[in-house]
Amino acid sequence: MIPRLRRFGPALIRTPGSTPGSARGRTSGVGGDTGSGGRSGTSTGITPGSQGATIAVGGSAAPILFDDTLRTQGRNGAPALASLIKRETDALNRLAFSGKPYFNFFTGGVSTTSGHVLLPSDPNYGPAFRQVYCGRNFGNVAEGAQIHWASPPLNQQANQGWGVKYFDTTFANYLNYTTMPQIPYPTNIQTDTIISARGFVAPNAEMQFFSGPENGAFSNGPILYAGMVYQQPQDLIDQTSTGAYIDSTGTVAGKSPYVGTQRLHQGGEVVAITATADSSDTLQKMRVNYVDTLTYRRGQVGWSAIGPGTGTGYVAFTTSKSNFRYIFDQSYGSGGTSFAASLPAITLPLRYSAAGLYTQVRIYVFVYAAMNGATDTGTIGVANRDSAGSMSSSATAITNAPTISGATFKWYPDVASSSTASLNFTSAPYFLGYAGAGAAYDRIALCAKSNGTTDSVRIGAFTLIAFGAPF
Amino acid sequence: MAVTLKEQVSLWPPATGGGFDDWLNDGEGMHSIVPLDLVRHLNNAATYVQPWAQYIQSAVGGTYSVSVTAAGEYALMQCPIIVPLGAVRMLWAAGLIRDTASGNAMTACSVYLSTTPYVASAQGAAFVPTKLNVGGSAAGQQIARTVTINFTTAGYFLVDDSILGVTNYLAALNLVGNGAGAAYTSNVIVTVTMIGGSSAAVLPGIADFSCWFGYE
Repeated sequence: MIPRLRRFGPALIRTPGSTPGSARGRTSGVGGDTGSGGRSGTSTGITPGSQGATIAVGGSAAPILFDDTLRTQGRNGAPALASLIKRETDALNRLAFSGKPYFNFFTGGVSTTSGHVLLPSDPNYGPAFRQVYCGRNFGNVAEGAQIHWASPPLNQQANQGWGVKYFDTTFANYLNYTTMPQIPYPTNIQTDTIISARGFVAPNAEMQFFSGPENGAFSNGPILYAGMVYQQPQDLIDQTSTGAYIDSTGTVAGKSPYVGTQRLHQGGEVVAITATADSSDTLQKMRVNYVDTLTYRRGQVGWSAIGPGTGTGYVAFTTSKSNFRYIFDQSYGSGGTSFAASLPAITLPLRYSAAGLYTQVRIYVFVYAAMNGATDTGTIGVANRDSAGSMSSSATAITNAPTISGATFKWYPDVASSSTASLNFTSAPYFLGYAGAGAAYDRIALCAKSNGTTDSVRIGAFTLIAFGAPF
Repeated sequence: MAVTLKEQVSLWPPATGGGFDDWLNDGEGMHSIVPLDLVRHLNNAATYVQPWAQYIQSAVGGTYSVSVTAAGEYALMQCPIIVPLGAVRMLWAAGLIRDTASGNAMTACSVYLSTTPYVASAQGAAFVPTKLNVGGSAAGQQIARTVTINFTTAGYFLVDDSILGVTNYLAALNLVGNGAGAAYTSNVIVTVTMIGGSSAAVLPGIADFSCWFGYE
């Protein structure tokens, strides 16, 4: 049995001088903020009796699936039944607010002492993990983060904590103890959860997992053995919120982006746009929400070294450094073993996710990287399936490939500041992932190489974000 | 009665030729485009244009191995994941590795979904599936899927379970109706089974693991 933790409730800690993030999920108690518990599945902050300012969006309910015969209700020339429109808006709301994963990590197995101690004396001291947080989705009201943790007997102490930081806002949990329990791994794994409320943000911001004093609040942190960050599903949202968000067209709006099914009558013909303000409002939101949902709710995956960019927290591309080699096994790549779908690579399911007759979608690439010196620059390449589903045997540079330069780690493209971090669909680095019917998943061999012979590329973290059609 | 799930999305923003603005320009456009196309494309968006891909690779060098000198089942990785309601199976693919051709064969790769993390009895101990059950009970709270393999040489071996996967996980984990608005978190544990009479040391390990969810 896992002993019940003795600790105080979660603390929302904002870094000095920061701008608070969206508070939609917190102000009315509908955004999934746990208030005092901090554990998903036990307290969601949703109070059934206080729904006066909320609308049901059913994000944690099973998706609505449509029978093909319903299409007869929408054939050209026939009246589109309002009941069908209502069902479709219900389905759209459920999709938009159903949540999604952002990042998973593990540092060791379950049968060794592997893991990571984040102490000031540790060479990788600092943010435990870095990722790009692409929160651009209407349904993104709150996030969740969960960890498996433990501490070595000798390092356990009071004032411990861990948390997640989204560029300008830090959410942290204290794990304080008045005594000094020994929590060995793997015989006494602990779990802990933070439900944060950074919410929908237009720019891509850096997301940091930290354990210990990264935010200055803790003197020590637990060992993080595994964890994840995800978008929290929402069943109710605040329909009166004025929290700003930016829709997929770049328009700043000021209201929760639900589709207002409550204003659609459920019988008769659909009311055209010019009939009533309520109908046009609903149809406009339906259009925008559909575009947003389909564009931004594809898969996002990533990897981060422990303490990326510090100490040994990176992968050094030192094997045949001037040729594209696979990040996790540098015997594969140009001049080495050719790539194949069954050989080392990253599995990313994309089938049927492209628009129209396309068989590919864009996968945007963010790398937290540096060179080991100032002489040469580096670049990023990928080997994966082509438009017909065949795996490439060699890697090629990605489109808009970044030029990695200097020995200081940073994100390519930049996510260092919210003012410059918006994802530019034209100029951001990407490659085309396979979304056709021929394979359930693409196999992506992320590679890097130096453009010279002196220095080599170092990658401490990367994030892959799938977006819509080839544009 | 038929529910089409595999049709690709064809509606798209105006810049890509979709003509989305027609939805709002006149009522006739609404009559045809929205109900007709969304019947299927929302099905697709709910199932195949899905964001539930989760990818896990060791933060330490990208691989993780355990030292094994005897036959048995050994845990390679565990991580919390989020699972959706409505899907009928969790599909997955795992990249396994081993360092040598000597030692026992890797004959099975299993994936467990559990509401509680796996807590081992000791360092390096063989995997005990019943420890996943709450209180050691066999009453559920975990579900497993085993794929037979035959991995005896050094190198990389992709275990592909992208067709069947872990089925009925919602009922097994008792997640149905488990609180509105909750995040349906679970834990995934990947194990390898070694068979043979050799006592030679071998390092079975895991490189990459990805999982996603199927609706049919």
